[in-house]
Amino acid sequence: MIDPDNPSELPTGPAEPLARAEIGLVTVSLVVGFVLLVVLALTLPKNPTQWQPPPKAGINPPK
Amino acid sequence: MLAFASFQRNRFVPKQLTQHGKATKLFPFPPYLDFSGMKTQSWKPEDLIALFLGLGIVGLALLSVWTYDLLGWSAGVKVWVDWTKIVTPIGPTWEMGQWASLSLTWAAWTSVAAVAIWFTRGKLGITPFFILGSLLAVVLLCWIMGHEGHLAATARDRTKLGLTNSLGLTGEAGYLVALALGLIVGNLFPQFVRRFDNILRADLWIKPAIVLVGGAVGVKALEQQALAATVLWRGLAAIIEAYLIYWALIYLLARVVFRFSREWAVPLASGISICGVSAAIATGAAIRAKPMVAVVVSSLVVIFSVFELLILPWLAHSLLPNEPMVAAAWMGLAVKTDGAAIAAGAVVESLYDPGKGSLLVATTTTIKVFIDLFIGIWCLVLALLWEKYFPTERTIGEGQSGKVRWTEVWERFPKFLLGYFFAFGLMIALGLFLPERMKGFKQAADEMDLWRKLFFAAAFFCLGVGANFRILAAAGLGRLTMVYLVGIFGIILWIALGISWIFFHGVPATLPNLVGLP
Repeated sequence: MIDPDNPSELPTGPAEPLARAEIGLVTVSLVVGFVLLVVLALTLPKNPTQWQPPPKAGINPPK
Repeated sequence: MLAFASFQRNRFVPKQLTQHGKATKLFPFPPYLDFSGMKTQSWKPEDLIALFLGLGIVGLALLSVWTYDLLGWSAGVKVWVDWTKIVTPIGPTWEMGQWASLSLTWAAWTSVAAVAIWFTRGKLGITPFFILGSLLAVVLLCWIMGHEGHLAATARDRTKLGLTNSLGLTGEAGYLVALALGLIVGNLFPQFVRRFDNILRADLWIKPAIVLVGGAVGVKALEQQALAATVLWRGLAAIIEAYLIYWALIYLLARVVFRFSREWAVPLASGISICGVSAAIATGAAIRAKPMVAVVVSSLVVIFSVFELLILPWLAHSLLPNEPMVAAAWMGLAVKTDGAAIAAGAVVESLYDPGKGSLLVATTTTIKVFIDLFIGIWCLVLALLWEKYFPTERTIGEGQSGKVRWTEVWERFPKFLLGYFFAFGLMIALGLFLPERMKGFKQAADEMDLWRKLFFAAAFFCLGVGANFRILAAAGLGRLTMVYLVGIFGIILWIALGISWIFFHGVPATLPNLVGLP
């Protein structure tokens, strides 16, 4: 068990190498994630109305 | 072996993180940390009280639709230069002086807060009650100071107030005043913070504020359904981004580059990529990591969220001067912890100042809420994987079954989010049923917004209090800090910016029929 008052027990040493299950999880996540994002980006309708900034607010007021 | 169930003044703290019932020197348990995510529990008192408080305000505000304005006495703070004209009651039918309105607001807020704390953490004594009342008075004062004309007045307000110069921060400068004061208290008076950590909790205010945002988004959706649908649909991208892309990249970074064990890499990846404290604690518990791991990661998340809050809104405003919705979405995707992310959205709103009908805070909140929704499912995925492939790493605590239960999805679901969706749905349903009463709905939205802002101000103060920078000096935290820095500033920020741009550029920041109104 880690002793919270003993900082040397915070993670310091090297860990075990990546297991196949971890590589699988990460790969599936990234592939599915990017594919879904591309599908979503291509299918969502674009909004035609462009936002207009308000009068600039700064230290000096507009003349 | 895990040994849960030490309740420190009704606050759940894993037993091995305490010494003789007190927090350790190294990790003084910032008040922001809610350890209850470490145990599975269907209804946490914190979530229940957020639901009652948030929906209670929504219900009272909604009575305005039928002309019963029961919250109209609430103190609406205006941008001011003359201290006799700081506050007006938010309801047009309430005629009372500013001090009466302010006193009523303070008294009601203190009473409700005392009940909320009593319900979640146990009975308040005289001294804590006095501290609570003083805290809320100080937060109200910060909010008022933030509305001072030289700080807050925008170009639109200057002529009206007779000012020649002002910083133009809008009244939401009050958040920054509260945050600064909180940082001073948290770092200079740690003993005080530890003694009153039951009171100085950001989650107490952020959760009901999220419920209130649900109601306000509902009214906005009534006014402009297509635009609201645009924001909600784009929230889907946030879920994919946080869980499938960020998490995988940060996990790889922690495991391969920084050589952390699985036990550390999972809470780190969740804390940095999903939604900070609650994700680190919940996923750490799902793989049965030692409680210490989630606590250390959560402490880092709290500290860095304050840095992000202080840097990112201004960075967004300078990089994206004409894309407020991209900036708001970016805050929701990049800033960790609900409180800091939504607070960053509020700062973005004050920097862009799009005027009445702004969708900026609603966008940041919606994105954060969408991300929060899936914590339970992600915990289940991790628990199933760990049980199948790394069964020896899932140590079992007292009274806990090592077998993954499907009900954990529901048990780990942040229930206060139900309030967000209920308030949203209620506004839509009633609004569609009573379209002729739109004026009443707008009044209700204004009242919900007023209390949402007050809750935010209290949360800003508590966020500052929770950010104890001395934790960073602890030996052994260097590698963890590096993962956090590289993960956030090297990976997440830029992916989040790119995806926010793809999904939100060109989306208007205000409801079209309200553009141009002060």
